[in-house]
Order: sequence, then structure tokens, then C-alpha cells
Amino acid sequence: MQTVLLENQESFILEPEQDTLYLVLLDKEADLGKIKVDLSFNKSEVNCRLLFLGRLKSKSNWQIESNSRHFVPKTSCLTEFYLSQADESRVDYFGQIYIGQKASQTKSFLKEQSLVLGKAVFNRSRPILEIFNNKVKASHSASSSRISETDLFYLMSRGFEKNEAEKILEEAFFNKVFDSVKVEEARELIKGYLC
Amino acid sequence: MRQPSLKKLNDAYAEKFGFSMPEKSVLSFDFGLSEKVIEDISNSKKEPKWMKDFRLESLQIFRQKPMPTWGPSLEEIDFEQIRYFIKDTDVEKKTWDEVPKEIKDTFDRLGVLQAEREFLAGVKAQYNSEVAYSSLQAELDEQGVIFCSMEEALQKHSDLFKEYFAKLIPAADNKFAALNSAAWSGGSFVYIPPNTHVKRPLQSYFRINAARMGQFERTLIIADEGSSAHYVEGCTAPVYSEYSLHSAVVEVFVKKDARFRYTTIQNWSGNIYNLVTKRAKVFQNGVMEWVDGNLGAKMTMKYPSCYLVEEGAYGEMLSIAYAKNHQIQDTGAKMLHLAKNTSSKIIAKSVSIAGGQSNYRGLVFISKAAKNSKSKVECDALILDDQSATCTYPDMKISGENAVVEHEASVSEIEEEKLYYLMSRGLDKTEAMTLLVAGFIEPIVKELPLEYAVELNRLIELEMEGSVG
Repeated sequence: MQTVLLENQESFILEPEQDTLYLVLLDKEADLGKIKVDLSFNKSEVNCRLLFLGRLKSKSNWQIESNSRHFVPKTSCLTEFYLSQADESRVDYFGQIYIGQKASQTKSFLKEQSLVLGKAVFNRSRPILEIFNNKVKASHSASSSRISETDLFYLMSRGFEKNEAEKILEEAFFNKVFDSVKVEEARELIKGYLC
Repeated sequence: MRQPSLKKLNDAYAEKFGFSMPEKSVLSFDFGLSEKVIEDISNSKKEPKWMKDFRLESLQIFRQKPMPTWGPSLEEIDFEQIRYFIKDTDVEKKTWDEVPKEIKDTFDRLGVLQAEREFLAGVKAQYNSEVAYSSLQAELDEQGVIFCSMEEALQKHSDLFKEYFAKLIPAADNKFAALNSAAWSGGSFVYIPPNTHVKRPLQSYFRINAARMGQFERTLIIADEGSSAHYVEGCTAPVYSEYSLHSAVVEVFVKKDARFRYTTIQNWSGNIYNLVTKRAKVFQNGVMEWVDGNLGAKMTMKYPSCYLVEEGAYGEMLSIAYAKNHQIQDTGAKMLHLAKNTSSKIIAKSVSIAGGQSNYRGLVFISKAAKNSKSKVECDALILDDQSATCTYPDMKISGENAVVEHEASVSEIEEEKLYYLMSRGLDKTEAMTLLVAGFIEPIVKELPLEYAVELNRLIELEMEGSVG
């Protein structure tokens, strides 16, 4: 599977020809951010993964959109979205999976997880499924929650300061994603982003 | 062996729902909506001036409001081709013997009598636009529970009525709420006094019996502090080639520590637009549960909501949608968390078959004030052939601190392995699929009162026949 880093643009319109891992690393220093990725599957037997990672700084404001549109049989797409949100950050996410009438044996999944680190955070999420064929598997899941108080308490009881404990838990949140990526090139990019 | 029994059941269904009794109305108005029609409706009901003014003001709002620009197309509805009021009985009957024979025949065929004998606490049987028959059980009177028609409540409990009427769904809420506010007729009024627990479900039977007739019933429910009750409405309608419109409004107030469940089984015939606004306001530690089954109608647009306005309030929605023969079931729920420590749950299941389309459309809103709130949404869709479709359109807006929100949705077909197993045990494909569909919706069906659960399973069985293969 090839790795493609999507950067330096607000909008990407893509028609994958081969198995690809698309990686989007949201700018950690940006106050305002906007990105849209359209993936249209017009070739059979193509499998893709679209991975968004974001450590959003305080008071940043992001608009993010992803569309996975399947028009032919036997394609698959896994769209994942992992964010940590600092104080007063805002995210508006729109994610669509469309499976057309001819796209039998499609598999398409959308997974979205937000870890709330700060106060007065806003998170809007609209994960949409539009399915017009029965021989498919499609799902989405979304969750948004604060760092677990129990985990925080445990780490602080071991001598960590609160901000240090929060940092460890944030790292653990992203490490799950890091471990799931097997392509070395992508691992290096993610590692660099998380450091 | 099962096939003849299915056939028999299907015939019974045609007999049961595919007929219409001859129209014989005491009062009825021409097609279309005008100030005169609204005034005539109000005058015929001998309403106070404030209600007539409210209706006329609502008519203006209705005219100003645009049609919804989202969701399925409603272009086909021609408001000038709808008759806005038909009254079958000029006086509400108190005993079954006094009910006119035609109406009685209809209800006999629908099984109301039997249902009442066996299960019902009190029946508000609606025939066309007005309550035709009501039997309030002695125990309800003893408990101080008010369960009557809206018209009766307006006359006899005017202060209570005025205090709550249209306070949760004002006429300006949306175009169809405005239409209902202008032309409403019939529906139930329920008041449960503080710390009163109504053990048996309060039931209402709705029915449309005239072509091109809009039914605009309005329901107002107040569950006072510490009370609990269960209200059940079920809908059936005869088949017509021309379309009809059903546009109801339901307002429910669940006071501190009260618990209320509102169950609907909707089985309108395939020519009806079912556009309903339902909303509950839930106070401190109150619990509101919507249980909603949508099987019939040409198109349903219905999103019951809970406004969780005080600490500890809980809202729940369990829904089933079954879309067949190019029906569109556009249903869902809205949970608005407006106070701290509130929680909500939405479980929506849908089945699409034979060109049907079922959509889930929902909102979870957690305001800044709603600290430590939780919400969970689960949508599961089953799509049974390549002519059908299913969509989900959830929207989650989260501002409250320490909010925990989970959302899951999945779309799948019936698993071949399960189908194969059941067929290897001797069932044919239809029977096996019916069984699997019944299993899919079972978590919600088990929440229904017994007779409704039985009826729903029978209807699914009938609907599946001839649709598979």
C-alpha cells in the first residue's frame, strides 16, 4: 500500500487507482484551518485508508470534510479521524459515505474520536451514510469525551503533575493509531507529527 | 405448512385495513384552507375567542412559512385539494351503545372492542377528525386523571389547557405545526396529577376514513410531579388512490420526578403523507421515553424530540422504520441537553425492502450549560434488496464540559450464514428472512404492549410475503 501525505491545500479531489493510505496531519500551530478530501472510487478492487490526525491548539477553529463515494463493485475505504482538542478549540466535521446502486461488495467505514483536553471546547459532527445497494457493509461511529478522571487520578497518585499526566494520556490516545499503521513511511510521518 | 397460514393472514389484513366505510358526516367543509374554513371549524366547536384568534394567526404563519428545503420532496402536496374538517358525530358518545352503527362496524373490524376488553384502560377512538367514542375508566376518575378529547378539555379545563397549549410547539415552529395550529381537530388531552401512577396504558385509536382528508389531531399531555403513565396511539387507514395528509402535533410536559412513555404504532395506508411534530419538555429528574414504530404511509417525516431543561432529566427514543414499495420513512429523534447531568439514548432500527427507503435524521445538542451530560445513539439499518436504500443523517453539536457522546450506525444485509442455517432447518426463504427481520427489530418490539407487539410482528410477516425472492 502506498502512502500519500495530503498537505498544503484546502481541497483534494482524488480517484485512487491503487491501494493507498492517505494521511492528513492537521497543522498544530494553525488558528484557523479548513480541509476537504473527496475520494471517488471508480476502479474495482481498490482499497484505501484515509487517516486524519489532529492536535488542535487552544482557540483554534477547524472545518473538516471527507467524502468517500463508491461507484463500482469491490472497493473499500476506512476513514479515521483522531483529534485532541485544547481549550476553546472548535471543530466542525462533515463526513459522508456514499455507496451507489452498482457498487456491490463495497466496504466503507468511518470512525471518529475526539479527546477533549481543555475547557469550552466545541465539537460538531455529521457523519452521513447514503447506501443504495444491499450487498455492502458500511458503518460509522463517533465518540467525544474528556480524558478519563480515573486514569488521570491514577497517574497523579504515582507522582505526575496534572499537565504531565494529561500529556501521557494524550500520547496513549494517539499511540493506538500509531500502532495500527503498518506502513513504515507513514509511521515515520506520524511519529514526527506527534513528537 | 406456514404458507397457508400466511395467506390467511394476508387476506385477513386486506379485510381488516383495505376497506373504507361510506362517508356519512354530520358536518363537513369544502376543499382548501381559508379564513372562512378556519372560522367555521372554530364556530362549530363553540370555541372561545382566543382559540379562534390563535387559529387565524396560525393560518397567516402557515401561509408565510416556506416548505422545508431539506429531506424528501413534498412537492406533490396541494393544500387546496385537502378537506380540513369532517365531523362524524355531533356529540361525543359516552357509551358504546350510543355510537353510530357505521362507526361501530369500523371499530369492530379494527378490533377495538376486543382490545378494550382485554387490555385497554380507556379508549379514545378517533374516527375521521373527532373523538367518536370514549370510555373513561372509573379508576382514572378516582385518581383524578383527565383523559379526554382536546375539545372537551378546552371547554371543561380551560385554565389548564390554556397554560400549556402551544407552549412547547408554537405555530411558528414549522410550516406543518402552523397548519395543525390553524386546522386542528380532535386528539387527546391527558393530565396526570402529582404522585399518581397510572398502571394500565392510556390508549387512543386514530383512523382516517375519507379521501383527500387531512387529519390534524393535536395531543397535549401533562405528567405532573412524581407521576407516571404510558400513552399508546395506533394508526390504521383504508387504502385510497388519492393522497391524504396527516399532520399532527404532540406536546408532552414531564414534570419533576415524573416518568412518561409515549408509544406509537403508525400503519397509515400507502397514500398518506405523515408529517408529525412531537416534542417533550422534561424537568428535573424526569424521564421521557418515545417508542415509535413506522410501517405505513407514502412518506413519513417524524423526529420526536426531548428538551432536557433541568438537572438529571433523561430522554429516550426507540424507533423502528419499515419502508416498502417506494415508501420513504424519514424518521429520527432530537435530544437537546440544556441542563447539567442530563442524559439521552436513541436506538433506531430500520428495514428497507422492495424499493423502500428509510432514513435516520437526528440531532444531539449539548449546550454549554449541560455539564456532565451523556448521550448515546445507535442506528442499525437492514437493506434487503438492490432496489432499496437507506441513509443516516446524524448531527451532533457538543459544547458542554465533560460531555460524553457516542454514536454508532451500521448498514448491512441479512447474513447468508444465518439464512442458510434457517433454510437448512426446513424454512423457506421468506420464512427465514421474516424470522431474521423479527430478530433484528426484537429489542424494540419487546418494549411494546403485548397486543401491539403481536400486531407488529404479524404486520411484518405480511409485508415480507411476496417481497422476497
